[in-house]
Amino acid sequence: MKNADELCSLIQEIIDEASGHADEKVDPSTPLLISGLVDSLTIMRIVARVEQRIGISFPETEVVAANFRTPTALWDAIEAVKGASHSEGAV
Amino acid sequence: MSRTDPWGPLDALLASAAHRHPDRAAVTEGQQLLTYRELESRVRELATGLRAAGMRPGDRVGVYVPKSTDAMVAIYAALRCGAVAAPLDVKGPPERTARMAVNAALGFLVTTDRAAASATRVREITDQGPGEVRRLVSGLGILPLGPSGAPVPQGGDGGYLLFTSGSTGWPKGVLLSHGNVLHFARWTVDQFGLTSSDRVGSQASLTFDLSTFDIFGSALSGACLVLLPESLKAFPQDVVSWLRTHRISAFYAVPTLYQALLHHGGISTTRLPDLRIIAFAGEPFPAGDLERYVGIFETAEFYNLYGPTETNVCTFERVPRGWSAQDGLSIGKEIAGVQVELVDDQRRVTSDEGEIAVSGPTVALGYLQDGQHRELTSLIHLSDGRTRPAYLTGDLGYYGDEGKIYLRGRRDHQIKRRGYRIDLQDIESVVQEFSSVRGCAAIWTPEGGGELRLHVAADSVTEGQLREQLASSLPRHMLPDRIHLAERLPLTERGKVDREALASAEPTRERGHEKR
Repeated sequence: MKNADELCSLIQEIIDEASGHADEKVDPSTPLLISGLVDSLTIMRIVARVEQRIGISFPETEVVAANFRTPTALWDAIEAVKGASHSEGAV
Repeated sequence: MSRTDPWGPLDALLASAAHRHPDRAAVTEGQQLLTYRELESRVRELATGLRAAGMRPGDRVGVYVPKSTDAMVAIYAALRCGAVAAPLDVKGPPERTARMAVNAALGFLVTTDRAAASATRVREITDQGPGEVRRLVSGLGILPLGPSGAPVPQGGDGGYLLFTSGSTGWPKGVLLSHGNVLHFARWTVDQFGLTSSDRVGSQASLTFDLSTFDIFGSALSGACLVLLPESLKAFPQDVVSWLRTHRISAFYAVPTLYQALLHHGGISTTRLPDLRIIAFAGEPFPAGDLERYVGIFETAEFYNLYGPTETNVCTFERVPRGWSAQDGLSIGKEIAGVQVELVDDQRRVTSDEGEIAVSGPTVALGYLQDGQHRELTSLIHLSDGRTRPAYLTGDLGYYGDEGKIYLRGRRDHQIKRRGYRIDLQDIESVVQEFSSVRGCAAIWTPEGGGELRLHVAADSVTEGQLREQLASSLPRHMLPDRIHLAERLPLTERGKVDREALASAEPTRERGHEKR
């Protein structure tokens, strides 16, 4: 997964699986929390799938509403986690 | 009498708090705060608008508003009109909401701009044709639902309406009087010693009876009602920060939520010195996790509250200091003024194991189904020699030490398998104690000779390892036919494990039973 658009399709996939069909198209600025589009189960799935695809471990302290407001916010958080794990690896 | 004077005891709580301490914080959500004076004045304004729009005493009104300060205004304003306030879930599928509206014969929806489109959809599905939400005050409007000119439902005393999902069919309404809700609110305020310096943290959905403590317990004591912003609810880390920054002193939630705060929210390493009342209800609290909680919050009071929507809380147990898992947890004894008995299959009072029967001031007035009022009580010959209407809960219990009641499972969770009588909750309580297990549900499907399925949410454990553990802790006739491991179990909108979803879903799909 290289960018926020690919993250959007992953989120879309998970939402579709959960609700059977998609009423809304997820784009990078779709508000995920206000519309009730994702619940706690969906969030867990997104985290698990992201960890799997990118091969990072997304720390529990980052699973906060601020990072899930929109796909863009989540992508920024993923980049930050990736950056942190790289620099750790370099040490 | 002015047209906006209190109608009944519940909205009188607000009027009286506004009179006693007008400038105290009544309700806050994020940055928004209303004092009791401001809340009362917004309620009067909306009540005036609702009356002008045709709302009459006895009407049933769906409060189709996301949980917010606006929702508080809408609930109190409906009560102020002498109407029955029925909180609805704006996130629920409109088809389902429409069925509930028809079941309870709702005459109106009060709604917000944001929910207006789905409100209109609900109206269309109820065969009322298109309609428009009419704005009454800033942020809130009204949409008529029933046929115009329909007679006001019988029993125009107003009150509260919650829905309960029966094992089959669509959710039916549980009609509560002002007195039903007030009795519970009074008991909590007395028992918890709530005062105007308390800050009541409110996380439960308004469709869930837990929230009646939040709303009316805080109004009765003049405390501040602190609403958990909906967007934070799914994030245990955020919920814990919210408890801390808002200095919540009393909190009432389901065990599943407390468990999430413990396992994913960092509550064990966060200082929460203000949190003095930790109350839970709705499902059994897994003993190992409760023991950890009791150890973390050494000075807080823990309350195990028990009761279905039909009776609200009818028994309680204050968890003793230093309680440990091996002590076992009872649901305690009846709350003041309420009578609780165990009855056998013939509905005779028994001192043996029996079904929990409840009579007294918290027992709801009745069900609303297909627009009709239906009884929810049966006449029971009680141990004091009198015959009274009592609600049979379907929960089985037995008496332990000091006459405290212990739950034995559900009548309908008892299954017959290979000639053995098995209580599914017995299986669950064993599995729950495995250290890798975060949650579990045992599901019985009777079709085709029957299948016992165990759904488990667990960390770093394989099915084979689970099977081994099970084999060493359960008799053979209680071992599941199949095990499903998942990251998490599906939850109901109330935050409890969604057994219906598990029972009706294809084994590989955790959700999908809901028609959308």
